[in-house]
Amino acid sequence: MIPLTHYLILSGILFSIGLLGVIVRRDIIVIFMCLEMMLSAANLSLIAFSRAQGIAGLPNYDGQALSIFILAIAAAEVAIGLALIVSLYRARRSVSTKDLNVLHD
Amino acid sequence: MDIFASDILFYIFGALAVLLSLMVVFLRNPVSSAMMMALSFGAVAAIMFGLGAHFLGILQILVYSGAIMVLFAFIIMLLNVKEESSPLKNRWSVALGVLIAALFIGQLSGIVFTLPGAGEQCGCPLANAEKAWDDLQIGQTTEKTAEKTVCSAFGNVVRPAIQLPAIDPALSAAKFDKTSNIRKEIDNGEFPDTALLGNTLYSKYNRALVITGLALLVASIGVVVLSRRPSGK
Repeated sequence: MIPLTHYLILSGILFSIGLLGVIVRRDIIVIFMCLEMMLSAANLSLIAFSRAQGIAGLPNYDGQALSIFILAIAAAEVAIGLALIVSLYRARRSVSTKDLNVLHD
Repeated sequence: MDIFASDILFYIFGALAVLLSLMVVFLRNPVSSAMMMALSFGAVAAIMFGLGAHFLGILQILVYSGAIMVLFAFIIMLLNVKEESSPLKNRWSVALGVLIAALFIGQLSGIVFTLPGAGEQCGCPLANAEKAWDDLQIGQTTEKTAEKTVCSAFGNVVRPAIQLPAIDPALSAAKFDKTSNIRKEIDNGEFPDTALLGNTLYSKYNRALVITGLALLVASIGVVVLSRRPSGK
């Protein structure tokens, strides 16, 4: 059997790749995708915990319920975020963070 | 630590997920980033199937690689995002980003490796037996304590590994009512993952589920308001 630590480390690696993408990319759409990757990594570790805490032959379904809530909130977040990106594009004709420097000047 | 042949799948899909996620970050074209993202979510869903969370694996494929990624691809095509000549920020930002991510992984592995069972490979049964012998207190005095086996990296504390317990629904069949569908499926030798998850969601987390539905409603109203054209034009 694979111990719990391997699942947690995989989830941590996926999370930090998402973090890396959020920091280094310029394109706001890809930044948003990397945010989704971080949420999905959190889901993975929740499910691994739910399996590890299982009693009497069943997984502990509290973790999976929390994971479903994360999934629903992620879907809502994507919808709102993409609408924001579309209206941003309407205003500034660009989706690169290079051009979002109103507060910088 | 024994590794069974079926556990190889976890490592294959884990490596695949990490590789595809790295491609999402480092590919130039946003469209291929989105496609790699969908595949990466597929690999994560496969790991969830391996964990026994069948419903959540299917939900991951349906919601993430289905709905969300299609939405992303749609927006990319709608906005006509061009391939950037330099998708990454300048060199210092990239170095800083890699440093932060590496620090994060380091810290996380530090925490994870202090979990019980991280140092289990070094012959803990011996130390277990020794501790049991010491606890018996038969005929030994203090001279024994000097040469206790240093088993794990954490001194003499022997911690059992956190192994994922096997799924065996028949063990908890008695918890469910004899006439319920869950009980019937368990008695048939099936694993009613979806029904059990629904049972938890609609009983223990009923209120939270309703609030989540409200959040989705608010989000859809917000999207309509945000994407409306300004009334002046």
